[in-house]
Amino acid sequence: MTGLHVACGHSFDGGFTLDAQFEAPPGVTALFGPSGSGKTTVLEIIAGVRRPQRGKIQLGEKCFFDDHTHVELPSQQRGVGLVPQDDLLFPHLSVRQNLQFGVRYSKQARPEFEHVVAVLRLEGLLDRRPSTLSGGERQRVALGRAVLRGPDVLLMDEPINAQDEALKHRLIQDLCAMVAELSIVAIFVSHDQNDVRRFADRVVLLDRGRVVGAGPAAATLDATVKSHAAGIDTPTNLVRICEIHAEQGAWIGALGENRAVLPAGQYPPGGAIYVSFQPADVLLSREDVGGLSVRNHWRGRIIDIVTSAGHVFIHLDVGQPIWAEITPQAQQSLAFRPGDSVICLVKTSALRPLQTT
Amino acid sequence: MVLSPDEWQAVGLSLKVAAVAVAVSLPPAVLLGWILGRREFRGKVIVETLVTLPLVLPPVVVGYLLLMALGRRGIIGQALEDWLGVRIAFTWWAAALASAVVGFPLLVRSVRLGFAAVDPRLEAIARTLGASRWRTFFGVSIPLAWPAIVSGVVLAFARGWGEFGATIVIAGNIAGQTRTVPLAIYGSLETPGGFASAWPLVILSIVVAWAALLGSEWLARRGGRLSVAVR
Repeated sequence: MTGLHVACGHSFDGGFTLDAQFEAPPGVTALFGPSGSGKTTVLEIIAGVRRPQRGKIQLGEKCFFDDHTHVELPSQQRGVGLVPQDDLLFPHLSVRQNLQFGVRYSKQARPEFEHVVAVLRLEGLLDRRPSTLSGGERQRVALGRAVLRGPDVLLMDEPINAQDEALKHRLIQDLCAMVAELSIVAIFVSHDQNDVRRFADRVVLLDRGRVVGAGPAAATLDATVKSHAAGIDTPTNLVRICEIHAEQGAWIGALGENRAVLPAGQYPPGGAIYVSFQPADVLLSREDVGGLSVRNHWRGRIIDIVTSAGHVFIHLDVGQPIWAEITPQAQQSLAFRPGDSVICLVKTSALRPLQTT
Repeated sequence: MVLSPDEWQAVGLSLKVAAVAVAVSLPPAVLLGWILGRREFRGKVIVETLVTLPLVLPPVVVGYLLLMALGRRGIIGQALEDWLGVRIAFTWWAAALASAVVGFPLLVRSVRLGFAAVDPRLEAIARTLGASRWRTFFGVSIPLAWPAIVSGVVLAFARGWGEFGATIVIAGNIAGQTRTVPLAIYGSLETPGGFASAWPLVILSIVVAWAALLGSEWLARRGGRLSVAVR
């Protein structure tokens, strides 16, 4: 169980300066930030595809790069698996040959070929050429190629953005299980808050080449709403609804002590799903009101209030932390304060189930 | 097609000369094509133009220079003869050498374009997957540039097949030894009443040249599709 230490600095011709330092322990770390914040550059530096002007990259005892001691381990000796944003499959090789490309060079423990092929749903594609695959399929092959070489560090640049929602979740679940089993460091780049909240153990927030926050994924993202860092001026809501069951023709689940009414759809009875919704779709009321068409009435307590660029965001605990957005005028007249009890009203149709497995 | 035994001999010799010329120049051409297609360095233009020079130089000049170097009193020719007892000028080796020199620019240009079209990020990915520089070159760069390399080989072969000016200077026109197809055609023209008898070799030459161009064009198109990573 060794973590990755990253410290890298580079001044680019265009005036952009990267100056990032963070730790990535075994498990899944997300690199989150707006485009142009240097996320991809950091991955390339770790992989050895790009040389930084200064810094130190070290995995446990193994030093990848150190400008002081003039250590620069060539790419092929770093034991990384890089999944680039535009998959970069070898066009002259079949899917099978692409997947096996790194296997012959690798002396490390690595996952079983058949297992990875099954996890990534690549069974029927092995003899095809990359040019005949869809974007999502190519992405999965690139993932498989990186995983199959048995990397110590798995680096993924928006690895799942072309996957459909149902498959995305399964893929990530299986991938995380593999990461845990091999106890390796996995870093993925994303600009989707929901993906980070769902899939990452930790998040590193990058903004204009600097680390502006790091820590447990959801808590770090929430804390950053205050600072507007990493392009986060609007939080998103992602909650896990469990104990799903049908009740009088509607799907009902539990959100802490509260009852959540889900939009029509297919759900696993007794199971759980993630649901996302916008902070602006949450209405707040001091007391429960009857006679409303809104189905979701969640009792909660205010954790914090953040004012940001003409918006007021209220951070609440309804069994899980969520955000509500209200106007400054509403805040003026209602004067919400941390610790207040409120009722959150959310229309069923505002809930977006992210996973239906 | 009706060819006399002498003409068959010329065809065989032309094939041999062109094949040897290409085989000898391929390794340096691949190396140079890779350097020119991938590297930036001071004086690159000088190297580029020097490599291309035989393409535009009168072949007779190439032959003259080769004869200066490899002839009996040439610097290299004399050394070879004194030390190893080997004579190159006026043998089929000299014809092959002349073909190699004039075909070299075509080969390098094609190889260079092939390497330039290979996405360097594919090579970088191969490295992250554990492949050494060397293995990346042979496992990724060469296969992706392959159609362009073969296209260059075909063109250089066709050029070697038809090489005349430099060949006649350094190799002469010795039947059975250095009389390749173009020299045989030239010989027919010099023979009284031989004008008409040249047509089988003329047609054969047209067919070879045209087939080479078609093949090279087809390979170039195929290479264009292959070497660019999809998306």
